[in-house]
Amino acid sequence: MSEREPYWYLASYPKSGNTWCRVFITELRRLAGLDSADATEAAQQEERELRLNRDLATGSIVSSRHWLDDQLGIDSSDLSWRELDKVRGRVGHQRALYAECLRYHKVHDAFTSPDSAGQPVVPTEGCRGAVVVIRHPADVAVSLSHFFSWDLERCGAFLLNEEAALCRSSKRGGQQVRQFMGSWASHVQSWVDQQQIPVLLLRYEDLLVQPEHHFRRLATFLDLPAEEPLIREAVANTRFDKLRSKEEEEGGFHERPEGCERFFRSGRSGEGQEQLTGEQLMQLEEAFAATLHRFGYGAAPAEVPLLGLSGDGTLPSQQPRLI
Amino acid sequence: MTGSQAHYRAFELNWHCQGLAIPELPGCSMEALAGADPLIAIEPEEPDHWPQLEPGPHDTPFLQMARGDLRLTVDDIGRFRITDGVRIAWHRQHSGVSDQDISTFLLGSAVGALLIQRGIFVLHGNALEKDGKAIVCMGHSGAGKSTLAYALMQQGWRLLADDLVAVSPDGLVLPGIPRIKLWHDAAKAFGLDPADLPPIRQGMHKYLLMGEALQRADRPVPLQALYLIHQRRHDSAGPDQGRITRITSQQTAALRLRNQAFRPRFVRGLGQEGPNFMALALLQRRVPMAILPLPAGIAAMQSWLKEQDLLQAAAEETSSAELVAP
Repeated sequence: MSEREPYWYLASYPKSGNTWCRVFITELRRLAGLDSADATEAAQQEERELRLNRDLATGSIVSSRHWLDDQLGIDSSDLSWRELDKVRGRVGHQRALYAECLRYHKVHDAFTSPDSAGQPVVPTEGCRGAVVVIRHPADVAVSLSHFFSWDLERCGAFLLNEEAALCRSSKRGGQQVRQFMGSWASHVQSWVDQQQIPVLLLRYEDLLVQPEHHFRRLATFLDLPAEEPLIREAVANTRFDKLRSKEEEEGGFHERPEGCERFFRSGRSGEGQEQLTGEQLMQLEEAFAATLHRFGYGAAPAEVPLLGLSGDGTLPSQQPRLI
Repeated sequence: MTGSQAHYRAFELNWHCQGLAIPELPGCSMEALAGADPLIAIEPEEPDHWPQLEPGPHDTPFLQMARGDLRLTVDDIGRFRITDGVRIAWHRQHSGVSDQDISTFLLGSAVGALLIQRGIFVLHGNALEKDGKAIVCMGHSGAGKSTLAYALMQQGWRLLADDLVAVSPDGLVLPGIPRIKLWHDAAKAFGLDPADLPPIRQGMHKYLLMGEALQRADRPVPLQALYLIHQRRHDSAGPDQGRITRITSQQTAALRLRNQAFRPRFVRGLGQEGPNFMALALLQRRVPMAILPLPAGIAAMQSWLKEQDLLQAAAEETSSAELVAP
């Protein structure tokens, strides 16, 4: 028998709060005294305080070549993107050797790709569920613009592009494989509408407004301790201003790309409304009207109650796992 | 299909190959063939004849392993069975699969598994030779190993091994597969025309450099230094950013070396952890290991490499922080 452990996905379009959730999980586990057996060596040595660049050990990104090579037993860069997408969903979830705590995998891929023949590009066997974090696309555009050093026009076009992908070049190597995403709306729908694994949908805007409530839902979904004092402390320790000053103290966050001044930049919602032109906003809102409406995004993205979801924010199709 | 036969030489072994041409491997001389080195068989075979394996704890949907027996499936391409360190059986999944498709996966995973079965310590990296001494550069997939190897060859180093680096118990790096694989963008940055190079597989933008296109070393060479590639960022600053730093802690060095072994899953699944650990411990005591902070960009990397003495640099204890560590 293979060694199997429960695992979850943290699925999001880039710049939607995925890393914030991973930092929260890391901090919650640290406060709860978990991880002593399976956290990174660094985390064990450094129990006093969260350190961004050492402890963010929630699990490898699903698009990691290192992980795929180990599971496939070959050099994944000897396969084309098309060949890879066909097998990625079947890589299984054997414990990667000598790896850190591997339970909560970040993923930016859409659930399926045009090359995956209708099958998920991520393994689902034994998967306990996916936390899907979404954020208003206008705010995503502003955040992408800082992250990739692109102008807002290009970010808007990227969000609208039905063929958008990360690491898409087939002409150079890299530590991650291509991640097909499609447009912002297609990406969100691919995760929310799939029927293979349970989903917890979180809106970035709600995490900002009611962090304790929504991070508690996250903890519960991931079978993590969710006592109120613990959640309160973890939330307080991972507030945006704290993360920003940690990033400064530590001389930069290593997940920050070249040219990006700071990873934890503003964290606010509503920047898209301020910075995108009327035309750019209209393009996004028209193209994504149905999806925006479905997920409760009106003209002002924040503080709008989530429509179409049951009272606790779980999707109707989801198994009733939440308290 | 089974008509052609050829003899090759790599890793101080002779390889008798049936039904498949492997242009990446050097031919075996009559003299070597008459010598005492073992002869490994590479043969086509119907997988229907392969006995069932009990599921092992390290298996994946693509890999089944037991002591002395490894099965690898590359979807829609081929299946491989590697047994007892003496034989590789291969099977083409369909007629659209080319010899090149088969040899690509055979040279990477199947040969690696065979070496591990023979108890040979195999690192994932490139080995280069200069003045009769070798360095090994290691890093995960995508870290820039091949680009570094080609840059070093431009500066007079000769290629000993690519991808699979076999180290003998007495600390010699064995001449392995004398080819490197360069991505389109890297080839262009070196001034090569990708149109002139054979792709690793049909339709892929990754190319093979082999034969006349590179200088190779064909004798075992003592290992002088181990390097871990660390890609520097364009926006990195600070005086120590470009300094080669020796890893002085024995424990850290052992961990790093373990992580750079070729396919640790094979090692475990094949029950070779014991011999592997002994080899690792021996190597780590004998050979200095250091972090190689490669500048981003090929031109910057080339000029930085010109200033380094890689045969000596790993042994120099450059980091004051490391020196005070216990």
